[in-house]
Amino acid sequence: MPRSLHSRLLIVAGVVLAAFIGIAGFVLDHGFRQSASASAQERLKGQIFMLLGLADLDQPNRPLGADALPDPALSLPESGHYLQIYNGQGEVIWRSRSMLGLGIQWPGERPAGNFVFEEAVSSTEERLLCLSYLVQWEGRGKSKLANFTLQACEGRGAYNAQVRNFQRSMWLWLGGLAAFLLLIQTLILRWGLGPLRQVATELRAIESGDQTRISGEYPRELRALTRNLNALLAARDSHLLRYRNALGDLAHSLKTPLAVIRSTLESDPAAARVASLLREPVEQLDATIKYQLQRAATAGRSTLAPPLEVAPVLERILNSLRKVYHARALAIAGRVEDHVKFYGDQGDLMEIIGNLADNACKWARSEVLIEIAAVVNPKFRRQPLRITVQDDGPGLPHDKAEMVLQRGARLDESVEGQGIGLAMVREIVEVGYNGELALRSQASGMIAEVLLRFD
Amino acid sequence: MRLLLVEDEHQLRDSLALRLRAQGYAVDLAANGADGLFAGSEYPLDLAIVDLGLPDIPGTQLIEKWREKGLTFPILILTARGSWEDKVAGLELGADDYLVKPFNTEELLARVRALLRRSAGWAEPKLRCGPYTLDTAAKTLHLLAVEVEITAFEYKVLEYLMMHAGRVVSKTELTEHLYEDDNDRDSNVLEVIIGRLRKKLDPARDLNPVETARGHGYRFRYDRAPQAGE
Repeated sequence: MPRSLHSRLLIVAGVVLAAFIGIAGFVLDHGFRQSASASAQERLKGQIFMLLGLADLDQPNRPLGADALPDPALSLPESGHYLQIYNGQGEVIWRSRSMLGLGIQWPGERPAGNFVFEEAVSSTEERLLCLSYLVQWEGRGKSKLANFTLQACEGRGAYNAQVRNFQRSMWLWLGGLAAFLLLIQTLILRWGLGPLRQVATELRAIESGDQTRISGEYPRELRALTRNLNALLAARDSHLLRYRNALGDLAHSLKTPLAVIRSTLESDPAAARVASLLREPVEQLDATIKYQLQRAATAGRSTLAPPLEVAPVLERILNSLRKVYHARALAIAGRVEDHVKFYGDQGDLMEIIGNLADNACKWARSEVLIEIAAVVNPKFRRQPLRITVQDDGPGLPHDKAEMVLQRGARLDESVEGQGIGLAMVREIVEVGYNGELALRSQASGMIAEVLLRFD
Repeated sequence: MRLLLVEDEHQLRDSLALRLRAQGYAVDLAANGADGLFAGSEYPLDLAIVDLGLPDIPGTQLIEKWREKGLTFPILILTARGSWEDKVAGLELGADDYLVKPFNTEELLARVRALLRRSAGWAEPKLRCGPYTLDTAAKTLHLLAVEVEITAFEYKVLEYLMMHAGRVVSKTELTEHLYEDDNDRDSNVLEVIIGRLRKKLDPARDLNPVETARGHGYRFRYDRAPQAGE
C-alpha cells in the first residue's frame, strides 16, 4: 500500500529540515572557527609586534631581558603563552620564561616579512597555534643582513574550548528550532489535510450505512470530488432501479408470448405433434432468457452500498418458502448468526438464497436447513459469507454435480427449474462476488455451499 | 369453484380461461388491474390468478388492496421476471403461491387445485367424507371402492359441497361460485342437479349425504375423514 499523504509530507518535511539544519550548523561552525582562529592570529601578531619593539637584535646573544615582558603569562612556566626568537640557523637565541624546559620545533626558513600561521606540537605534547615572522636585520656596522625568526605560540586548549562552547549552544538552538518547526509542520498538515480526513470519515459512514451522501462543507479543491461522489451515489441507486425495471419489462414482453405459445400448444389436442416438437425449443428460449436476464440484473458487490443484515432477508425467504411448500409439510429451518452482514445488492442475496433453498425444497423428503455464517479471517476488511443449504433428498451422483451447474442443464425434467436456478446462482456468485458454489452429495442428501467475498 | 384471472395478454388469458373452464371452474376475466380490483371486490371468488406485470397498476398493489379490504381468497401470482425479490414481495403482500412464465398449464392447474383445497382446509388431493372419496386431480368419485359416474356439472356442485362438508351452503352461494354469469343462474336447474346427485350418491337410500336445510340451502352431512398426518 502506498504511504499516506500525511506521512509522505512529514517525511519530506523532515528530510528538508534535517538537511537545512545540518548545512546551517556546518556553515555556522565553519564561520566561527575562522573568526576564532583570526582573533588568535591577531593576538599572536600583537605579541610579535610587542617582541619586535622590545628586543634588541643588535645583540643576538642577549636580545632581551628575561623580565622585560609586560604580560605575566609569558613569565609563568607552561602557561600556554610562549614567545621565542631564532637566529638564521634555527637556533633559539631567546625564549620567554614560560617556556622553561619546553621545546618547539623551528618552523624553518620562510620568506621575509610574512606572518605564517600554523599548528605545532611542543616537546611536552602540548598542541599549539603558532605565528612566526621572519625579519631581516641590518645591524649596526654590518654589511650583511641577519635573519631572525620571531615566534609567538599559544595552547590550543583555549581555542578548542571556545569552539566547543559555541558548538554546544549552536546545536542546542538548532535542535530546538528543528523540533519546533516539525511540530508546526505537523499541525499545518493536520489542519491542511483535515478535509481529506473528513471525506474519508464520511465515506466510512456511507459504507457502514450511517449516512447516504457526503454532507460536509469542503474547500474548493475537494468540492468537485465530493459533488461528483454524491451524484454518483444518487445515480447508482436510481440507475439500478431503472435498469431492473427495464429488465422486468423486457422479461414480461419476452416471456408472455412464450407462455402464450406454450399454453396454446398444450390446450389444443390437434397440435399435440407440433407441441412435442416445439416443447424443447420453447424451453431453451425460456432458459436462455431467464439466465441472461439474471446475468444482466446481477449488481455484484459494491463498496459504497450500505451493508445488509442477512437475518431479516433469510427470514423473508423462509416465510415465502414455508407458504409455497405448505402442502408438503417440510421442516424448513434457517440458522444465521446475529449481525452477519452482506455487502452487496439485496436482489442478488435473495436470488442466491432463494434459488438454492427452492431447489433444496423441491428435492427434500422432509427437511431443509439453511445456514449462513461469516468467515472470520483478519485478512479481509469485510468478512466473507458462507451459505450452506442442506436437504435430505436423494442427493446427486458425483459426476452429475458439475453438469447441473452448467447453464440450463437439467437432470430431471419432472422438477421444474432444476439446473437453471443453480446455474444462475453460480453466475451471480462467481461474477458478482468473486465466490464459489460447490455441490456435495452424501447419503443423507445434498449440500450446496456458497462462498461470497466482498473485498 | 369460481376463479378470477387477471392477465393483460389476451391470447394467454383466453387460452388459460379455456383450460380452466374445461376443468369445471367458473372463470371471471380481467385485462387490467382496475378491472381486477373491481372483480375481486364484487364477486364471491374462491381463487385469483394475477399476473404481476399489469399495464395500469402493479399486480403486487392489486393484491395489497384486496387484502386491505379483508378479502381472503387464495392468490396465485404469475411473474415473468421470476426474481426472488418479486416473488417474496408478492407472497408477503398476501399471495399464496407463484408461477414463473412460461409455465406448464398442468402445473398451473395443479397449483390451483392445491390452493383451493388448502383454503378449505384440505391437505390432500382426495377429499374423503364418510364413505365418499372425491379425487380432485382425476375428477372422479368413489363410494367406498366403487366408482360413481357423474357429469362434469354434478362434479362441480359436489366438489363445492364436499370442500365445505358439514357447513350449510346456500343456493345463492352455490350458484355464485359455480356460474360466471348471472343470466345462467336458475335455482331450478340446481335443484334438479342436487336431485340427480342424491340418486347417484345414495343408490340404497340409506346414506342421505346431501341434506336440505329448509330455507337455507344444502349440507354435505358427512364430516371430512381424518387425514394422514393429522
